[in-house]
Amino acid sequence: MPFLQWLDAIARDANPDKAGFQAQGAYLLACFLGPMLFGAVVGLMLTGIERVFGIKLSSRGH
Amino acid sequence: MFGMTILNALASFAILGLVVGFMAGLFGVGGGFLLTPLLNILFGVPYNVAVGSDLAQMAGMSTAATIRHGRIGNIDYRLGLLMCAGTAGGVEVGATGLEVLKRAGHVTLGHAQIPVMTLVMSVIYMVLLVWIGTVVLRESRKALASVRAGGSDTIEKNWFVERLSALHLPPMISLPRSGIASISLWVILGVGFATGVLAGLLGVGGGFIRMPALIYIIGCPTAVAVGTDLFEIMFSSAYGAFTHGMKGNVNLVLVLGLLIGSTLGSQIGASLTRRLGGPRLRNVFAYIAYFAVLMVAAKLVMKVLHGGG
Repeated sequence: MPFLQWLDAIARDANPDKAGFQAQGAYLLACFLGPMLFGAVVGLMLTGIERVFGIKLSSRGH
Repeated sequence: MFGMTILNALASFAILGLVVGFMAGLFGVGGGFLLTPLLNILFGVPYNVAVGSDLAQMAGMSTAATIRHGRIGNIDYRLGLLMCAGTAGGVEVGATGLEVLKRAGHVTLGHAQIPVMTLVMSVIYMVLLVWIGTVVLRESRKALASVRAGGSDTIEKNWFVERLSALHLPPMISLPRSGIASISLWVILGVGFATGVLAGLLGVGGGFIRMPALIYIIGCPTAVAVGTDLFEIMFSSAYGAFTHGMKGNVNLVLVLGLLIGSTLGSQIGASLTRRLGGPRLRNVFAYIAYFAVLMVAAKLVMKVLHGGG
């Protein structure tokens, strides 16, 4: 699984406990943009499903 | 990774995400307050990495939910963006506090050397979970009694909340989308800051604090409070993931596994919520919080008895 190994590798670019540690740009982007992109794709897919099947969203649930 | 191969780790985190996502969808809460201690108890993930990865997972989950709530007009964008300003400061304070704990070294308990971060975080989680469990249990019992007596399933305001919502400290602003004519900007920033500290320190989205605050202190309608809360969580957790990422606290494989599992679990849980009653569900939720307290306490006692970080 090259993608998983890449994810693992960019998270291990340096030792965070060492003084002067600086996270790589790719890692930082993956930290917040990766999950948001995943969420956007899931949200749009679910919105599409709700539209197609006429499902109304509950006011409580996530 | 945490004593597993990458694929095994991904599968294990996906299963945990599925379970917590299911409970989050079922009870209508974020699930962060369960996920962070469970990652530490079950997989030995250090609290700083559990909090950072949990926030990244929440950024994904809340983005998906925000898109859905935005479509049906449940978001007060003005209120959400104002709260974000307070939350950003709070997240930074919380994340810095966690870093201070991480670098605070060890404390000797019995014959064991326990990291200060593990000890402090375990105690904070136990207090938080007992408090949440007790508040939810009392409220759900009242609501159940009220429903049985033919009343409605509503939660009462206390004196503190009433005083805060009536505060007249300029600048005062209006929130037409939420139907609020005038409210102090400081109340909005204060609610954002307080929940931001919790997010940065504990990796909790604040669904159990910010949601009631939006409804009872700020005065939002429930549907708008749900959507605005999610919109705000999307930004605050993304900011939290970024700031924890700067400190190397986000494990990306863990985040991916949690996202896959929790996305599926929350959909299953949310679909079941519609079939089960609200107060009865909240009753069960309270006992789950108490069970989590026992697990955190047991893990801490095991560490003290047998040593280890």
